[in-house]
Amino acid sequence: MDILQLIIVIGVLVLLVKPLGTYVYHVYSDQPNRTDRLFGGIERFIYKVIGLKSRDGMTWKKYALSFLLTNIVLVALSYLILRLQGSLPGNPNGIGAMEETLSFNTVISFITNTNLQHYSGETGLSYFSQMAVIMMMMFTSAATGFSVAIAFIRGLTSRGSTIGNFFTDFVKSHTRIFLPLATLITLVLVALHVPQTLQPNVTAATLEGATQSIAIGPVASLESIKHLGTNGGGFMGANSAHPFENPSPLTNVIEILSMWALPACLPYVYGRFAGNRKQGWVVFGAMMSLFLVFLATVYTAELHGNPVLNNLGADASQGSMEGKEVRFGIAQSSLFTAVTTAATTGSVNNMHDTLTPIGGLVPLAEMMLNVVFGGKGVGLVNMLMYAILAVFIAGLMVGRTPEFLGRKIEPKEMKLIAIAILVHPFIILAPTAIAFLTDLGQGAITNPGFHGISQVLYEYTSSASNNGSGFEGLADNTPFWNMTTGLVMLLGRYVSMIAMLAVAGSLVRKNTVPETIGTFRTDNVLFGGILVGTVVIVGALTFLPAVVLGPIAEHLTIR
Amino acid sequence: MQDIYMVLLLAAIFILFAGFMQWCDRAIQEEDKR
Repeated sequence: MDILQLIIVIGVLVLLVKPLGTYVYHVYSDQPNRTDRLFGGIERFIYKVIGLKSRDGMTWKKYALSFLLTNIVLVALSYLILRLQGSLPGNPNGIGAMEETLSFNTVISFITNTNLQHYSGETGLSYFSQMAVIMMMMFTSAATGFSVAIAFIRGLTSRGSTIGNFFTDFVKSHTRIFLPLATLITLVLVALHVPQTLQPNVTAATLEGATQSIAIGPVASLESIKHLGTNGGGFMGANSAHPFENPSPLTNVIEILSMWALPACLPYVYGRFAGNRKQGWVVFGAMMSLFLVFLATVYTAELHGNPVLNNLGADASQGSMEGKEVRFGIAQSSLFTAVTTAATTGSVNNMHDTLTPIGGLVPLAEMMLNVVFGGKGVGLVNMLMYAILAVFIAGLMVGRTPEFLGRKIEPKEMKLIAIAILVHPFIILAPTAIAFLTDLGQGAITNPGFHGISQVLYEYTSSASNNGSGFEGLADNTPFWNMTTGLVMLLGRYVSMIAMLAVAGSLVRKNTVPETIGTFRTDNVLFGGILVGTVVIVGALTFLPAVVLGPIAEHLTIR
Repeated sequence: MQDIYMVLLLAAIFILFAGFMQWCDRAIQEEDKR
């Protein structure tokens, strides 16, 4: 039954890829299509309001500067709201201003699509902040990631000097993709008993006569974009394990598909832009094969339970249910864990800190690779970055100038790709080492031994990959952790985005060279294998020593 | 006072990103000249 559940969800996902990918392709292809009639009027009104006079294409520098400036404005506005929320309207529960370093961490967390939460939603944010800061940035950060991915695809597949207009891409991402889909999913979640109200918390009397404050609020509308935008920040502290956020196995499947479908359809979109759908399916196949290995690993590890408890005579037939919801069981918890860290959403329906060591290794490894479907847009960009690296390495081995989609890959592109690849392990491993060397860092570790290493490593890996989930035993709401994870999130988001837009800007100006019998093909199974091999080898070379010290050592001590 | 530090730090980081953008552009153009 478990396996059947997994097969059905994966099957539905695969069936969604082509229709959804076709729709997304038409949204950004700039060819007239039926969606223009539906959304064109709204978009023209928005362009008028924001004063957008020219919808012409931008050079990569102008595109990057536009998205940076847009993000700066949103960060400033959000920081102001969080610091003033105590005196703003929409605060029926009387929540005060958020502390300075926590506000710094929170605005960075949401503008970078990370949604690392060092606060608890029920007690840390007013309804106004939940909507005007959290939900607003859930839309804008997802739209930014999507726009950059499309611009990168244009750089690889078109010819000229421009890679699209950021503002039109950004607006279209909202009007044609995220707002319609979020509205639809919100209505479905409300029908399935997820709360959507502006009423204050409900005060209830318990059977023992005590009073209890039960948090409610505009949950469904946040829940939909939380997953659609691969954001992951929950309305409640317990995230999608909370029965008001994720009440049933059916809502669980809806949430899994809504965070997985858009990242999974992007390789198909890339294939459409490239004029060769096989290119897209090869990338999709590489992502899916990596994903299936990770899913099988976490499912098997959790199914076999915790060896220590098993040896004490505990009933192992249910698997390791510590930190999991009975209504989801092992299969739906494992699938959620594998998808939320593959698509770098970071929402959780079970507590990752209580996964078995090998089970916990899976989300950690998926975030370290950062290409297994990946977050909104950036996952595809990262995978294509590895595809160019794979072509470069293959070219070196056979002594040919490497070409990708007919463009010659030169040292300038490889220099930028090397920066984008190497910044990821650097901003994970360096802060992890600093945290171990300082009292401020060590003070947050709640588990001695190897699991404590995993906790710290997970926190920075989650920040760098803009995931946002955590091994939540870590006591991370301190100025040290707020500041260091904030900086890691920023570097993890913008350095690779800027570098890859620069690569797109360089490639778009190149003439394509005609394909010959000696051209290294990138649209067959052989290249898919080389691509997976490149990802695994680079990932293993950079992260294996750290992983051995954490989850693998822990696994060996409890066998 | 701490608010000012936070805002200045955010501004400094985004200025660094703009600088990185310039560096990327220069790296591409220098290679083109060569």
